[in-house]
This record gives sequence, structure tokens and C-alpha cells, in this order.
Amino acid sequence: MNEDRLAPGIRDAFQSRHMPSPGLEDRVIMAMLWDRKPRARRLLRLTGGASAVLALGAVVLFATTYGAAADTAGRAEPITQSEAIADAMKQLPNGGTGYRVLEAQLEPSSKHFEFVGPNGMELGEDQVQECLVIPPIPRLPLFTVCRYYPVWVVAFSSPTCNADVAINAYTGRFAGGGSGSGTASFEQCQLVPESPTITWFQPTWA
Amino acid sequence: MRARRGDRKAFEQVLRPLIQPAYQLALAMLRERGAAEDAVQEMALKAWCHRDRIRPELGTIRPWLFAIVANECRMARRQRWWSVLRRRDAPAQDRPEVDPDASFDMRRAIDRLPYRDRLLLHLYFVLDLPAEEVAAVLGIGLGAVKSRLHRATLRLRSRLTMEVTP
Repeated sequence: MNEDRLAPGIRDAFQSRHMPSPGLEDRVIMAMLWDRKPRARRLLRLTGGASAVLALGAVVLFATTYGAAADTAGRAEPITQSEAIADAMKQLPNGGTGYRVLEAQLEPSSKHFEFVGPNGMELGEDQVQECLVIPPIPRLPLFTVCRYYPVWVVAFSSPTCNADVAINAYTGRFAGGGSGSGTASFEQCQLVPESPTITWFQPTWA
Repeated sequence: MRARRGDRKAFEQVLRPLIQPAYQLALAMLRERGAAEDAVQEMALKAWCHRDRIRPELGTIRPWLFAIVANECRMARRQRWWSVLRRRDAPAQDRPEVDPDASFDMRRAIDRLPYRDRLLLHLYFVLDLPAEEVAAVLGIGLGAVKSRLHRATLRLRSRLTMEVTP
């Protein structure tokens, strides 16, 4: 395929997924906060710098902890499929009542889970990482230590909603998920919010 | 210049025609309409808050605005609920497609590219930005844009070959 043929193909591929948003211009302009003054750059830089120093200190301080935890994870055996499904169901509304499992797949490298559902809906998973985050310091790209880990990805379907949930294959911990439907509202299909317990290893996207 | 000084009408005038292209970019990166609209709204708010950074000598604020929206998308994807798993709706039946199989393969191949490659391809091929503006959006040099573009299309080609080879 030469460059001339590739360009329209790329354009078509992107545009085939386009969903128009009529009137967006008016909505954006209407929601503007026009009385906001320009932000002081100096203050932002100082805040950013201070956060970076704090984050660096925290990472150095807890490096030993992280190493120990990573070692443990490296030796662990992945949980079974049924355990993963049970853990994943806890993330669904009403404990997963009314949902059936479409597919469950162990992703050793945590990359590129792809599955086309019965209604033609595509499910996909990107690279899942977990990162050491020590609250209240935010995750900073340059200073935060991250690692890949295997996940179980479980795709569910109910008469009104579809959902897919990723579970850390070592710990059974929720690693993220998505849900949606063409018929039910977004709220009806939303996954159960995570528990507010603080976890240092936070799943994230790479 | 008036937009930079805080003239609301002037700012609106330069912002308005760029909202739909920015939304198109955000949607391509996030694949969810609500999130893409949020990214565009954030872009507009941030641009207004940082209007002192508008450089009238460049003649356009397009690369600056697209850089903001690209950054918003990057941040949105890092958030937990986003990104780990994405669900894509089945394509609408009434959408014209020349060759559904080829389009599906291309979509899959593009999906497998790293985020920065997809961003680059969208800016260059879909939004038709000149390489100089793409460089400004990505904050890299013109030479880097060309070499990244070359590498991205090579990667895409190899993935397409893999898709069609059983």
C-alpha cells in the first residue's frame, strides 16, 4: 500500500467513527466563564515545582516498599478464571444480577484484549499498568514508578447493558472497566464505583 | 490581539470555528462523545484563562488550541475510569463505507498504534494541518514530525500486513 492509498484509508478509518455533535459551538461558548482573569504563570510554576520535589522525595522514600511488593507480585500465581469472574461481578450493579459472561480472557502481558460482541460492539483493552501513588501527592509522569501486570478481562452482557471489567490477575483487585448500551442510559449502565479505600498501586493506562 | 487583551467577542470569533475540528480530534483520541465534548470545553476555558499566551504574530491560534485539547485527551485517558478498557459502539448502519473489511482492518491497525502516533496521524491526515502546525501542536521540530510520520506510517503498514496475513 503506497502513501497515496494510505492517506484516504487513514482518513476513512478515523471518520467512520465520527459522531457529530451539533450545536457544540454554542454550548461551549455558553458555558464559558468569561470573568476569569488570566492565570499567573509564576504561581503555577512554583506549585508544579513543589509538587515535583515532593513526589521525588516520596518515591525515593518508598522505593524499598515498592521493590518488596513487586517481588511478591512476581512470585504470585494468577487467580483462576472463576475467581476472576466472581471479582469482576462485584463491580457490576446489584452484584451482577442479570448479567451473563460473554468471555473471560487472561492477558499475561496486559495488552490488546480484543473481542467483538454479539451485537457487533467492539471491546478493547489498552495497556494496563499500575503505578505507585502516595496520596496526596498526584501521579507525575516523570517521577511515578509504574509496572505492567497481567489482567483477567471479563466481558458481560445483560438485556440492557454491556460491561467489561479488568481484574488484576495476581491480586483480584479491580483494574478498570467500561460499560454502555444503545438502549439504557449511561447512569443505568455505570459500574459500581470503587470502594474509597486508599491503594498505593493504582491502575492506569500507558 | 484583541482576544489576547481579553476582548470576549474577539476571542469567541477565533474560538468558534475551531470547536468542531477540536471535537473531531478529541473524539478520535477518546472515542466517547461526552468525554470529547468535555475536553473541548476544557480547552476553551483554559485558552481563555491563558489568553495572555496567544501570539498574534503567528496568525492563528489553531496549533495552540489543538495542543491544549490533545493534552486534555492525554490526561483524560490517564484517569482510571477511562482507559483501562474502552468500549466502542457498533458502527452505525447508515454510515457510508467504501470497503467495510478494509476499513475495519485499518481501524484495528490504527487502534494498535501508540497514542502519539494516532494523534500525529489524525492531525496530519484528517485535520489536514500543515507539518509546521503539527510540529507546534506536538511541541517538536519539523524534522521530528516528518520522521515520526514516516515511522508511524511504516508501523501502520506492517500492522495492516499482519491483519491480512492469516
